[in-house]
Order: sequence, then C-alpha cells, then structure tokens
Amino acid sequence: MKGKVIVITSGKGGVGKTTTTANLGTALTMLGRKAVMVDTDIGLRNLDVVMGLENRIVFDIVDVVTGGIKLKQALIKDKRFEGLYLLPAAQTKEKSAVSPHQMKNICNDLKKEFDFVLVDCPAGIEQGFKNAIAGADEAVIIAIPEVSSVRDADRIVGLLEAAGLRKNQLIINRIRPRMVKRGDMMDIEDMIDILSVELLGVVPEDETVIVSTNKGEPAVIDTMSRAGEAYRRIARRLNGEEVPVITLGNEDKIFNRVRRMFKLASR
Amino acid sequence: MITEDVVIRESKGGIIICLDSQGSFLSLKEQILDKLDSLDELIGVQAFLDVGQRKLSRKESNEINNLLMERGLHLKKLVSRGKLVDFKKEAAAEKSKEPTSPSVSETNDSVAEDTILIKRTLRSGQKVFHPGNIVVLGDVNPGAEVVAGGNVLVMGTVRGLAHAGALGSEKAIVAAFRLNPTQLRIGKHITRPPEGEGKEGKEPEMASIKSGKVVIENFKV
Repeated sequence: MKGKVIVITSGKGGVGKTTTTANLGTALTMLGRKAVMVDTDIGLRNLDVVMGLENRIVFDIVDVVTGGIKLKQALIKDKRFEGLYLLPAAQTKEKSAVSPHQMKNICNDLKKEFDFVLVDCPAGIEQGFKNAIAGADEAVIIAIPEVSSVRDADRIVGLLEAAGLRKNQLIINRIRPRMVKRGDMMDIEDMIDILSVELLGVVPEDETVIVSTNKGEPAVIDTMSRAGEAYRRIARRLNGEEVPVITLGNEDKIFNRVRRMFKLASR
Repeated sequence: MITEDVVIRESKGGIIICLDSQGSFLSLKEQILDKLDSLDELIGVQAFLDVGQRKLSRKESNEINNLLMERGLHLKKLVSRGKLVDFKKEAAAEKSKEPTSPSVSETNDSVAEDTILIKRTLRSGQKVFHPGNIVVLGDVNPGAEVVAGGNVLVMGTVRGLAHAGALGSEKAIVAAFRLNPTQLRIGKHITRPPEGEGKEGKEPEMASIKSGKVVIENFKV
C-alpha cells in the first residue's frame, strides 16, 4: 500500500489546523480508509486532547526518533474507529528534538501502512513548520476569512512552493453566512483571488465544533453538525470523489426557498 | 560513494554553482534544477557559475542562464578554470567574434541581462531585488516586495510593495495590469493609496514621476 502524506498548515494559530486534522482523519476512516494523524506540535500538543486519546499516550514521536522505540509502539489506536491511529507529539521537549530528515523517514514508513498520513503542523514558519512539511506529498492550507489569516496563508503557500510542494489546496474555515451576506466578511472569491490555490472546501462557523472538541469527539461523528457535514464532504473529495463545494451563496438560496415555502403555507 | 556533479554553495554576494567536468550536459541541467528546488527564497539572488575544467558552448551557457532566470536568479559571472569571466563581457566578445550572424538568442540575451522575468506570483514575505528592470508574470501579493533599479512591470495585480528606480532614478515607472499597492515607491518618493478609498482599479495603470510628484494614470499605448 502506498498512501499519501498531507500536511495541514496555516501559518497563523487558532484557525483550526488541529480540529481539521482530527475531523478529516476521522471522516476518512468513516469512508473505510486507513488513516494516521501525526501531531508535530512538539511542546504544545493538542491533537490527542481533541481526539480524546490523551490518557493512552505512552510513547511519542520524539521517543521514536531518539529512544529506539518502534513506530508501531508509539501509534495509538483510536477508541471509536478501526483503522484510525495517532502519533502523538512530545509535550516536554522542543521542536528541535526532531529534524526534517527524521520526520521524512517517519512519513515514508507510515505511508507504507496507511492510505492517508495527515500531519498536523504547528503555527509559525520555524523549525516545527519545516519538520511538518519535510515528508509531505501535498498540503492543505487552512485560512479563516480575516485579512491577517489570508496574509499568513499566502506566506505559507510561498514557502510550500519553495519547498517543492506543488499540490496545495485551501480550506476556508469558520465562515459566517450572515456576515458574508451583509458584506461584512471577506468573501470566498477574494480569498481565492489572492491565494490562487485550488479550493478544497468551505467550513461554516459552528458552535457544535467547540462543544465536540472539548468533549474529545470530532464533529464529523455528529450527523447534525453543519461543520461536521462540511468536513465529511472534504474527506470524500480527498478520497477522490467529485463532490461540489457548497459555498454559502447557494446554501442561502436553498434556505430562502424553504422560507418562502413556509410563508406560502402560512398565508 | 557517489560524487555530485553539481554543488551549490552560498557566498556573500549570492550563490555559487559548481559544475563537474564529467557527465553529460543534460544530466547536469537536471541536477541543477533539482538542487535549486531544494533551496528556498532564491528570487533576485545573484548566481556565479563555476564550470571548472568543463567548456560550455554558447548555447549551453545560454540554456543555463535561461534556466536560472526562470527561477528568478541572475547569472552574474562565469568562472572557468579558476578565472573569473564577466558574463556580459564574454557575451560581447563572442558577439564580436562572429559579427556576421547575430542569432536571435544573442539579441535576447543582451536585453535579458538588465531585465529579469519572474514567472510566478510573489507571495507575502518574498522579495525581489534587481538592479535592472523586473517583469513579473503573476501578482505581487500583500507583504511581497518588488524592488528594481529600473522599471517594474507586473502582468497581474500589485497588492504589495513596488519600488522602481530604487537606485535613485526618477525616470523609472511602475506599470501593472491592476495597480492596488500597499505602497508605491519611485526613486526617493514614497506614496500610499489614499485612506478609505476602497475602489480598486479596473484598468491597467502606470505610475511615474511628473513635476516632482508620483502620478498614476491609466495606461495607454
């Protein structure tokens, strides 16, 4: 089996890299694929918490690199889904504990076993970023509709291109339909215009994500979650299916149509 | 042990690309590309080519020159058998040797030496400096800088910083398909778009200095 390594990155912090990694990993396994999530945020690990696997960690990525621990020993099996694994970061070390070369080896080993290797990149463009992209075949860039986030994403795309990564796709996260409609938020077209990368998906702002993240359950498990639905669609796209991107414009049309129907009925 | 045919070293003024005297030119070219891909932030960097014992034909050195230019590098000097050869002078000497056949590639070359072509979008954090003219086939995004001793021509949208005449020329211009810079500089003049006016230009525009002021006009031939 020869899988692909996808790094999930954004430059800016707090835009949803870890949440996206957790959700896409889970959604891909729900589609029957084997996936492993690699947390490269050494010193500030979060992915284990978001997945609710924190209490199962025995060995981490630094142990694999330096301590003679086998990769298989450090992998944590997910508690809900068969075929989903996590390689946790170390919390007590620093980013420099792993080198890009070592990271590349880990990614190459993992993609022999898994269909998808999702690498959760830390914020910033320093060593942690360089490690995270070292073994990647493709990149997914997360941006939220704010000028500063788009600026950082642009910088990241530049660095990815310089590192020889040619397939870079964009997820626009936390978009608020009402604000876009009022013209108070950057719209999707403007963002794509500046970043000029392929759009992989749009995820709406959704309070259920915060709730599910705090509970250690990815939103994709919740069938009622709008963000979860968006992530499931993105996962299908990563899996090679053709799924149309729901931008908020056409979603509003459906919403209005439903409202109109109610209006008619109430007359 | 495998010896490498192409070695790239960093130096004060830029990078030095050393070629081995063995191996075919084609494989050398591929290796140069591979090596360049593994380095980042090369745009505007000056390159020195050390060919050692190898003798490059005019066509071959032109090919390498073009290849470097596509990546935004500027081939400055050619070093042969430890001797520094000025690329410009050599080209001129070659030209004078065979004045009867001024081939197309040579005429292109003389232009290309003061103008670099950047066939990509400049993104935030990327900076190009070149003493001559700069042509960008792409956008200049916010946070990116394009600084030229001569003119700046952008076949796309300028959203970042453009500086023409950076070495003091007041005659330099900045022209772009869409000109919406965060800051525009010509010579010693620094300008920024008026506050609050959110309107974006919908026509190609050109900035130049007229009676001591930076003026932006619609670009007309």
